[in-house]
Amino acid sequence: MLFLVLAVITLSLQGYAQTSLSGTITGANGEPIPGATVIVEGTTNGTVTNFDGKFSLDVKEGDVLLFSFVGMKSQKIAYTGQTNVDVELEADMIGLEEVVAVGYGTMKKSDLTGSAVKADLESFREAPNTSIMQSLQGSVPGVQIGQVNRAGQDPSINVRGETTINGSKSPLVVLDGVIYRGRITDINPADIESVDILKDASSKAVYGAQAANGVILITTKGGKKSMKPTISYSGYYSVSEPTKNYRLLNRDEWLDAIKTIEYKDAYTEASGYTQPNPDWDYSMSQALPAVIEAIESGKEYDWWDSATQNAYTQNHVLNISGGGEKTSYFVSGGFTQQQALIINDDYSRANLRVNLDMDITSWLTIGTNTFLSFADYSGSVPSIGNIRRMAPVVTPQDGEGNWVINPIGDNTVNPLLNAQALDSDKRHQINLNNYAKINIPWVKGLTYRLNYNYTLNARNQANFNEFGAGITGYARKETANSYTTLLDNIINYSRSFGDHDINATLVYGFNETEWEGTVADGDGYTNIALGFNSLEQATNQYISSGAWKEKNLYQMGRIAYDYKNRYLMTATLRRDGFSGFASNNKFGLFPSVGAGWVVSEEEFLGETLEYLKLRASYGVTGNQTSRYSSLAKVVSGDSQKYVFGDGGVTVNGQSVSSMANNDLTWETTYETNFGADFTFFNSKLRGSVDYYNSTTKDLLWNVVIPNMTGFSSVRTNLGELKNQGIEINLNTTPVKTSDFSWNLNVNFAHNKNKVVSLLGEDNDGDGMEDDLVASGLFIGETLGSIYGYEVEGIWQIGDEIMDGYFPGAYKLKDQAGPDGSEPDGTITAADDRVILGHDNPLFTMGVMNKLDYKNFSLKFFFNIIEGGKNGYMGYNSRPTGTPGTMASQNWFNSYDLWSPLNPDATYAIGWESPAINTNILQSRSFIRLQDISLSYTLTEELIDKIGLGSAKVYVSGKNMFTITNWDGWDPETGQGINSDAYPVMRSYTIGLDISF
Amino acid sequence: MKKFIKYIAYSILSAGMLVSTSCNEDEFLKEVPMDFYSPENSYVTYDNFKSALADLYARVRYIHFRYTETETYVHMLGTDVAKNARHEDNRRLGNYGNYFVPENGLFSYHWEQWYKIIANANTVLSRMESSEMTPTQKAVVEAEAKFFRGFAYRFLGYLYGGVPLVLEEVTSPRADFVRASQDEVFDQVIADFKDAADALPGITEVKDGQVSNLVASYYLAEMYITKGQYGDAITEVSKVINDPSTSLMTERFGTRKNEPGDVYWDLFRRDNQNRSAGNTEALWVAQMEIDVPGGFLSTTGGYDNGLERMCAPAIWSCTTPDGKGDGFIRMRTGYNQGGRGVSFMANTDWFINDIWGDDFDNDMRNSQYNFQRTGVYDNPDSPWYGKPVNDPENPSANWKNQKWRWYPFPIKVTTPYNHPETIYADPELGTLKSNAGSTFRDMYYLRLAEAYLLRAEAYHLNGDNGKAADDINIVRNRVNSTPVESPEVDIDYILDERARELVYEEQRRLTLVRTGKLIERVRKYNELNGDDIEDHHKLFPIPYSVIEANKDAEITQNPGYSGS
Repeated sequence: MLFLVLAVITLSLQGYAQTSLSGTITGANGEPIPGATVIVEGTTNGTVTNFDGKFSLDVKEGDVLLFSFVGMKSQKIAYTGQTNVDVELEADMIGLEEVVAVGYGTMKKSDLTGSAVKADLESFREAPNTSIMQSLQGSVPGVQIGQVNRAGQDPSINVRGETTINGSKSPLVVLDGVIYRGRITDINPADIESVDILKDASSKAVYGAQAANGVILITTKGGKKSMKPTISYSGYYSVSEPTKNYRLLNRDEWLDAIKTIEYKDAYTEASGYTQPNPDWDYSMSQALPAVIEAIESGKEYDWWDSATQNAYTQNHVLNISGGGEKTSYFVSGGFTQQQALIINDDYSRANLRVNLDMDITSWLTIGTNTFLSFADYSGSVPSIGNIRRMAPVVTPQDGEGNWVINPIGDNTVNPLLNAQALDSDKRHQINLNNYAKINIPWVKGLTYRLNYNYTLNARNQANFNEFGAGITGYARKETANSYTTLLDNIINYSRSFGDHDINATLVYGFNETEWEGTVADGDGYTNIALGFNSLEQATNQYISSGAWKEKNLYQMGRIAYDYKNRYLMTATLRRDGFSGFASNNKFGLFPSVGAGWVVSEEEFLGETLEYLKLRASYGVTGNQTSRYSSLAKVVSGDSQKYVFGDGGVTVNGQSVSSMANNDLTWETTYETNFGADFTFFNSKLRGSVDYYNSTTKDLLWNVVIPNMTGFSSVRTNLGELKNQGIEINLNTTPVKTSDFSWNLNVNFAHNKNKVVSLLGEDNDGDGMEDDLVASGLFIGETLGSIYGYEVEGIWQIGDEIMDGYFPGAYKLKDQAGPDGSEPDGTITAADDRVILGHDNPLFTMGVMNKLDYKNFSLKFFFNIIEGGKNGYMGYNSRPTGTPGTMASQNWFNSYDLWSPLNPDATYAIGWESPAINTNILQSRSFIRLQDISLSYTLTEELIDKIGLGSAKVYVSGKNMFTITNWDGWDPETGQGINSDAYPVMRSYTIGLDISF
Repeated sequence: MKKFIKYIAYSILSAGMLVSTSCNEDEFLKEVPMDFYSPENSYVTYDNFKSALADLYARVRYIHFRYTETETYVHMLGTDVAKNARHEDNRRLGNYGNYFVPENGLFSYHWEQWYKIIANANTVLSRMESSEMTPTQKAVVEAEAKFFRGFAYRFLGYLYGGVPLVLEEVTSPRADFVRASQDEVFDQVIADFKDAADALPGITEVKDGQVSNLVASYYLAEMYITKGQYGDAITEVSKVINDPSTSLMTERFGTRKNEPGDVYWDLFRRDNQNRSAGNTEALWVAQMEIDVPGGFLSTTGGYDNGLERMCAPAIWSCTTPDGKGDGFIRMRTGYNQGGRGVSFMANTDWFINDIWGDDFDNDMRNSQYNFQRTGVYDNPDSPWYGKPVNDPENPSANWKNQKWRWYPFPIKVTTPYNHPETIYADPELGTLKSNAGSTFRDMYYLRLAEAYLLRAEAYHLNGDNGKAADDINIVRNRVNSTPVESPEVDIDYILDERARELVYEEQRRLTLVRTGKLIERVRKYNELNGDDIEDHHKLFPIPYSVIEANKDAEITQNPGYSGS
């Protein structure tokens, strides 16, 4: 393969060395167009423009130059000896000639009848994102990407609200045309050309039973035919710090906290516990003796400092692209290294990608999009919870430098010991994606394409902790591999007959994934020298293994018809079979239909409308059940084993662990979408609006059943859920002069979901369908309803306190007595829980500003999630424990804790638990300056002097500030004051892109 | 060349079509489990059923001895013999009012655990007929499964009162259960135990840890007492006592018989519980092995069977009278520290001080080997070395206000100087790793002394106090206690004797509920819970989650609880 690449490069390097022509390619508005293609017609001699739209190319008299760019009308200019040529390309219709991936093919955006969006990746190229999905965070209406706080983490993705309760919530990812089940973080963001998101059912239905949560189509970069080789390097270095500067209490603050815990003794009762008790000292506290000893010795130690490190990310990518007359190539190698805040939370990834496309004959093209990814997550990360638990007076090592096993003197093991463990966690992916395309010679417009994908995901983990398993030493090795095979046969017929354009696609394919994993571990090591490489040294040895296999089989047909570029129609039908479907329901059918009307093309409107297209679509999609979920399982686990007699042999136990459901089927979503795409005011305002309304039936659901059956739940299809929402995307250019321009993009999405029906039963006889309180589901309310006890405040000393509560405990509202009668003075689950709010946003919004002045470009992006009156709520929990453990522990200085001296505190005490223990709800709404960057593109003169093709330097910032009322680490991740998890980071980046 | 390429292209095309279309779709999509069994293929052979029975043994052991502070020890906490050592209202049953509410997970935990045992026993019984087992094999399997079903309903019936009776495997969802009466539940228990007693092998024929016909007879007798059938009860329990293979241990025996101690002490030493160790008193023993799959006990993590952790005092956490933390070499094996205790559950003052009466000095069960009544600083480097922490002149600084840090405790909760090798932090010093806390030995479900006390109860209720006193005195004689006079025998005396003999062995709450004495005796003898226990606490509340999930029929709440 590599040989082939080199050969191609060598070939295309030959055959130019004449006079040099340079110039600039701009759009109609004068904006330079980077990435536009310039080639000498009929040759392999070509180039692409740099960031300034500039190019230079060696030409000879008589050459005809072809200038082209996606979405623009191509131009031809004959070379007549001039040294400079500036070209202005005319917009074909801005953005509308854009080609969009639609699944098993591409379509011009102008031909779409459904709702598919191309993500604006360029605007986020300067952010230190290790996963491409982070570039979509807040920037695509209707797509919600979760915040990440770990090194090399895949963010969560949600498209158009939640359509499921217990089913899968992940969208389907399609990489270069084939379904991709690996980690998105394995794909180098720099290799990605475009990301398209299919949002409405008519677009998604081509993926049938797997499409209900949306489809994300990722396309990697390719070379261009007849283009001279371009070698590019881009790199950045980024440093990070937590977005909140919370720290653990220092010695003095912490000593005060102990007095608060022991306030009944440490303060005098006569003073209402506000005056210190002179007879009290720390040796009388409930703190553990080791802690008391440490208090007396006057020590202070900063555990947070010892458990954190300088966080940084660096990234280097080198790629070569170009093409000969019949071949194009893109070869890239990348290296990413990330070190997160907590020690050993490290990630590195090396990537190699080869994308090739070769015309073998006039009718046969073969190609590959192959990549290898080597990710390394090695490093044993100490538990933040245990770091927090260490009192600030105890130390990790004693005076002689020996590790202290239990610093606070209870069973909490020194968290830094875990960090000493040898740890290896390597995750490799080999993804071979090959295709062959045949233009059927005897039928014009008919092609056959074969996609064949084989993916190997291998995970190898090993850990050796000499302090593990009660300091006897613990070692573990795990290997897990998955093998995926996919084969798609795609027949496409695309042809114009006068005003009639037809594009028909037929797909027949299958997909098979097999997984197997083995874990071997052991404890009790007398000689630690061999670490995890000789597990058999363990006194106690354990093994376990597992395997599964799942298969999909599918057929799909799609026909798109276009009359005069004015009337558009698309219809699809997919038939899906999945091994995980129950025996009575092996196949499902998923139809869809869409129509579009380009109003502005109507002659009777004349020139009044610049561009307006109306779209309407309807379709059916599914959400698969998980494999084996319809079967009754018999498990035989370790906890079921028994040994009869002293020194006897182990007898395996077995029992049935789940109930079978032979009728289990996929969830079905029926969705209607209305949309409009428009361009007004001389292309100054461009955008689209979509409204959708979907109903999901046969929800996959682990319905709670009484455990007298022997089971606590069973997976079933039940009920009905509605989602409706609106998505708006607007692009404007408010200011534009020759040196300065301001581009503004605003996207907005609102989604509302509602439980329409559950079991369809009315057992309480009130004429209305019953809620499923045990599952937290209520008819007419949103899926994210939060049902619980209303906190009215905190009980104070001197209050007449309800039984089971005490000063410093949350005061719960007595909503009612039995069966809704008047409040009865007691708090019970039956009578006093109410719907307090929900956790869905009212709207999400992204605002991107782009300011260009000469060679400088400033971009800043706000991500906004707003919950409204009682939406986007989250519980803010507090540290809890016994008085003894709490007095021996620490907590973050974010905790505004109740005490007799601080009666107006926000949070209740955590060392006594009331009859009913709950937390307080807070709004997570926020506005975040998520990305900001300033870049400078080197002037042409400078570039020429250095001898480069183009160069850009930039600085950028991520998560710069957040405006929110949420108390604690981060509203988006929902981490509150009691975060025992990883903080969200703010980063500062400096980067460089060059090509030659 | 061109031809060659064409040939390749056709091959690809036809291969693609072939792979995609030639196979049978249903065959291709057939789902085959790879790493778990299905009921159809795993309830077939005798070995399969033995596995299904092993699961029941493991689950019963789990619910009795898994380490949780409240769920597992709820049958001891808040009774006449034991309480939350730290007197905390909201932990470890410190206060009945706060704990005994239908929402508390404690009650759904017990409900769910016992019903899972019932369901698994029902699966065995329902799938037995279609299996490959011989009639002889079937008979034994059936008897054992019925024993466990009866055992589970026995707990449910005593704890919750009437509960739904489920006697067959449930294979499709249902939520229409209704409570049977407590009497109906007990009738079912009797039916199951009868069948078990008839068909289970004798005690010499079963492996250590397996139930025999004697075990079934014992529980059958107990249930007869509950039903007022005292004569039947005497007959059944006499089978246990009269069996030639059972007898009380009266002489020193076992692994440490040459060390200072006595025979009662020997009963609770490591490796001394099984019949194979020469223990003829053991009737049914929960089997535990250390660091073996299925052995339950681990020296590398977890505190299952954590009686030591729960009951032994955290004396190591006592500061010296001058407030220093160095009075102890921390967490040591032995009598003084009692291993790695954390003071969660202590005996009531009544149990510690009053229950021994005139036999305080001569009752073996209160001997220096069996009940630790002193606690001294054990660090030779401390000026307080050898002095008691509870010295009235110079008490420990933190013990003064926090009496829970040290209290007298029964030695049967620990294994003094005999912890497993791998749990020592320093074998020389006898210090233990912080993950110690398990009681590292097999545990009695049932031993013969209890059978004598049960028969005494039956005789007494049947009006024969003479024979009742005889049975009690067999137990008392063994421990050198003064024999009881027959007029002194009443239920309270029998309960006192059970406490002396069986503390931290029997599920005390069940005994008290069964004899109707819970409320009275907690009020009388438990200084922590005496004020907060109310009459309705004699039964657990029905878990609210069960009432809620059972949507197609009503499960009524027990009287006195919210929702009743």
